[in-house]
Amino acid sequence: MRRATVRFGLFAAAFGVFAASCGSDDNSSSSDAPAVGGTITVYSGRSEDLVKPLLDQFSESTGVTVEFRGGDSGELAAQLLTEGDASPADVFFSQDAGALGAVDNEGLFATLVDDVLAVVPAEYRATSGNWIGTSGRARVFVYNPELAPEPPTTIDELLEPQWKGKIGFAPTNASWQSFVTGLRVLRGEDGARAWLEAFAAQDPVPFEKNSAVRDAVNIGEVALGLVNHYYVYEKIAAEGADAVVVKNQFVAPGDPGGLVNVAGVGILKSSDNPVASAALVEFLLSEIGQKFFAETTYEYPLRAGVPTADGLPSLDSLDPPSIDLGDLDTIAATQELLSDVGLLTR
Amino acid sequence: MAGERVKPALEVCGLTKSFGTHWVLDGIDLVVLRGSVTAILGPSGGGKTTLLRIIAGFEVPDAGTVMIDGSTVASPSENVPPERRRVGVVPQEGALFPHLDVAGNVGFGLPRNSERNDRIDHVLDLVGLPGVRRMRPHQLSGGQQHRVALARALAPRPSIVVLDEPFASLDAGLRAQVRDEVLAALEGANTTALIVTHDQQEALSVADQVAVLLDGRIAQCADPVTLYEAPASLDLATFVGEAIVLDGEVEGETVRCGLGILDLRDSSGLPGAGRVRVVVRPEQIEIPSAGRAVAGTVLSRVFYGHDGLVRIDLGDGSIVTARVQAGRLPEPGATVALCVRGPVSAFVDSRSS
Amino acid sequence: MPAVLAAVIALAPIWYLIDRAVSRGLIEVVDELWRRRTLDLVLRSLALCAAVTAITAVIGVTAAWLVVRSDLPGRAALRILLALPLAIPSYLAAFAWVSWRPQLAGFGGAVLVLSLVSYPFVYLPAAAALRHIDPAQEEVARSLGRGRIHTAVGLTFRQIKPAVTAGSLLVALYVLSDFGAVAAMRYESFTWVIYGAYRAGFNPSRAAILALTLVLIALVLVVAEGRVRGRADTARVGSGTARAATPVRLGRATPVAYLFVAVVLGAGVGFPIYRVVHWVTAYQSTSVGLDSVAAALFETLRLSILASVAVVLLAVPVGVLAVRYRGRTSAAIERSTFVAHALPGIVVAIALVFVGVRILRPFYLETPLLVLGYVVLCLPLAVAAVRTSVELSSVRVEEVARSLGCTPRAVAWRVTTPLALPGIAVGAALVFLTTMKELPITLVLHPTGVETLATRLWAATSVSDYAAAGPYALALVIFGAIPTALLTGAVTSRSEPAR
Repeated sequence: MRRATVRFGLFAAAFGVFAASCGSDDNSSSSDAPAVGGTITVYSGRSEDLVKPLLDQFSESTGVTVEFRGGDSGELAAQLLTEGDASPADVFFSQDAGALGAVDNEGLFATLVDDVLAVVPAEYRATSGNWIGTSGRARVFVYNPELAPEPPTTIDELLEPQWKGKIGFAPTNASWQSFVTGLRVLRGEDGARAWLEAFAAQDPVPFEKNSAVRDAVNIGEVALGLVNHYYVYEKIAAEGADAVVVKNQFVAPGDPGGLVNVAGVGILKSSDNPVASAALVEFLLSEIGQKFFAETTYEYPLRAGVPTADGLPSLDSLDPPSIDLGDLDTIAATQELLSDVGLLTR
Repeated sequence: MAGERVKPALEVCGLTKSFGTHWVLDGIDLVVLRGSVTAILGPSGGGKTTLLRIIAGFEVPDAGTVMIDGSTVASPSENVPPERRRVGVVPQEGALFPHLDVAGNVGFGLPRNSERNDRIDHVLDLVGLPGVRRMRPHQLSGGQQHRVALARALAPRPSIVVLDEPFASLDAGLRAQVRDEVLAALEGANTTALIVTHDQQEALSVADQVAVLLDGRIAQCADPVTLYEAPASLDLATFVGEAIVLDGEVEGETVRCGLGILDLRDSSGLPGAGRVRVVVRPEQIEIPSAGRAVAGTVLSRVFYGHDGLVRIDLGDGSIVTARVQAGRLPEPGATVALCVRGPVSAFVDSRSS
Repeated sequence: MPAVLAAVIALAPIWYLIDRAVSRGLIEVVDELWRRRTLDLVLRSLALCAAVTAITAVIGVTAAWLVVRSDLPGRAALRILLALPLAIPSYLAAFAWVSWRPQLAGFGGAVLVLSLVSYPFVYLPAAAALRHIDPAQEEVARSLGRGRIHTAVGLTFRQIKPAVTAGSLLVALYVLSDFGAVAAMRYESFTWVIYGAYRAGFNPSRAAILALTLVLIALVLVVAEGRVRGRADTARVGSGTARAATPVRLGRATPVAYLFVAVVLGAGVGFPIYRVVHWVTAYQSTSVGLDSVAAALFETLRLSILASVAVVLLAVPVGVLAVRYRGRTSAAIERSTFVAHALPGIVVAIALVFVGVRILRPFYLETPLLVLGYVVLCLPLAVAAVRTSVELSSVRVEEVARSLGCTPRAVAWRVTTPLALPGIAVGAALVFLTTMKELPITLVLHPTGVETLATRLWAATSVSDYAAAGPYALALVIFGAIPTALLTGAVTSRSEPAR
């Protein structure tokens, strides 16, 4: 296995610890890495199988032991909110910005240092500076080419009669609710309600999660689905391109349907090892961390200069709607709206 | 021990118990002498079992006291739990522990020591069931289960054993045999026993003393002969044994009724003259006879082998039943002469006035 | 005392729920409840409950009767096999079906899956109760001119009614609280919405209000079950202990009986296993190391055993109390243990987080608190089983033990408990299996770094990695099946009638 190059410059700047620019020879990282040590507990909405290799690498280079607690991002946020100051967690690694915003709203996150925040464009981190995106995920329409040879490109085209009863979505999924939250921000409460009511009138088919939506589109149970961009690539990776029918339709520039949400990370105020926690955040934002997400999960790296996976349009070319992801923390209000129009439960 | 036969094994005073508004027991007094067998006789649902359960400690009385071996086990101020009363219980259905074998059942109340096994063998011998130690309850017959239940109750040497309708669930042929075996075992163990039964024949045959429980009270407590021959009330007279009840007029020491002028066993408590109810036992009537005779017509007869019962119309509207030895049974329709042997009982007629 | 402790433990989540429900003011509570949708949800959940309860009662009683009272060849083995759906998690079964035929999704699919995975809750107690019935009573009924079917319905089923209703209550509560099946089948029930409120809404007060509504429904069910059960005294009266029944001859009905058993077993056990094996082979599960499966298995077994022991220790006093000392308090204690069972796992889990960080901080995210969570969840399973078998043992027997010098405590230990042992074993088996496949509480409360088969399975399916899910699912089913088989065998088989 090729030993990757790790740059700890930011880390050193932030904490005044001497850090060497690690060479590319095989044993340098272990001998030259700053000795941070200790143990941190990470509540992770991202699955262990996915991030374990990355975290192992982090442990190896810093001597920090990572206690991993996997779970659903929303459930982990609910757990953190309930735990409050007594939380054993040091770092919360979330699948989406909404869960991070909810935890931040309760004032449970510590503020990140400016140098760390500077790695990521302002639109992909908290305005409070309390959490930061680690990878981007664009909302797309997935479609079954046989059933939808000409898929829509805007959310308003979804309201055309031909798609009635043919759209799959995951009503309890955080990404979907983040999209609706974005819609509220972009079109205002009334505009969002109007679209949602029209959407509800389309009799969309609810699924438990995005992968189920994608699979339903794949087998033709529904023609279209509202999911994130990487689900199709995951399926291709697992089953081979030939076996996969479902395709991505990237949404028209500026359309609310093309919202780019982030997976991100924040450090708990109650952490008893903020140094090691900060080291993990930096590591996730390092080139090696960013490359990992780009190649493994087909997400968009947020650090400048790290290339996206093959076949993906660039993040800039997507021209997502401009929105402050910090505003996506009003999930509760979104849920109220979804309930009112009958899209959350029926 | 001096005075052992004087000090009662069980003494019940003024015991009352009600369930809701229904008085089941209403002032029960009862003394059971050590080594004796007492039967509580009463109709079904008459509170017998409740009395037994209070004595055993399964129910708490509303008032009154229960003393066992001279110490109070139940009173308004205290209630000794069943496990410290030394009252052996033999429930109607035996209630053997289904999860234990016979030895486990019998030894249940015994401490785990070296004598335990000997004691188990001993009481199993007493009830006439040697060699069933390893059997499971469901492998035993009904009678055997019952005797094991008795052995289990006897094993810890209780002050008194209470048996609830011990023979009711056994079939008639088996009943007499089991009854004899149980009695023999009780005698062999020299145990005081209290038997609850609704069967008057059973009560009269097994007990040294019979207490009749009617309407929540002890109507009479006496030895079986007294109870049968000199019942304290008309109700008792008809409840214990078969009785012919006739209207009569008291005339001093005698009473006049459809069977003639009969001697009274005890005229005290009766008015010098006036209407009474006369009780005659069927076996007191003789046919044919010499002496003061009354004529009657035979209506029907029932043959039992050693004797038979004959229904006779006295012609004055009353019908009597006579117990007659086999071989002397008259034919239906025959006119017979009757007379009554021995004194009879009479009671003030509570219906009149 | 242990019984009161059990009730306190069981009610701990309610404390949390009320705290959260009123945290935003009573107006919010009223608003939430008055929504048209709330009534809608109640009706949807009740419809599911009613359908599954009815179907499981039929399947459970029929299966129990076939293997206990009929002469169905091979019934000894079927007795064990018929309990195996217990080893199949509802989310796994639901996923197996819906991934095969997506059109099954909806009410029908939810009813199908929930019925198939939960009928053993009726089957096991019904089988145990059938074994206890004195065949003489049936013979009497027959001799009094009642036909075989008439006898079965009028007498036999009436006698096992307490066992069946207790089991049906468990089914109903299970259906109310299940998330896995309704989520996979996309049937939007109460639980679905409560999950949404937690994981996407970050709205614990809304979730709490809905969960309390669910608790109310559960209370109604529990009280109703109490009414139905009544005070029926099912203990035998008469001399001696029951002998074993002579099996009823099925004759020409035997193929029909086999068809019934085959359909139930095929759909309930065979099909999910086939699908899991299919995932393992079709996706070439090579990525999962045997050691990680073994480690998860070890943790799963360790936690399940701990939970079974803890639950049984608490359930026995509650069950005994409920039967032997019938009164308001004992009824309240018993019922309180059931209420928590209707709560979705996520509610219990978050409630225990709430309680854990406040008063049990040293145990938070440690084994004891997780086991406590299992206790809250599983107590009613064991209580129902214990209660049913205590009901079948006669009070007279216990009184005799008292008169032989046993204190009440000694009676409980030497007589009641051994007699209730079949029920206790059933309870322990149910707890063991429920714990083994339990997901939401395990996911939230497991000690950090400790992974069980269920959490591994969840982690794999949450990213749609069937290849990785397969081995864990297979281990879960296999190692759930072994204890099910052993315990069911121990519980439902007795020496065949001696002849």
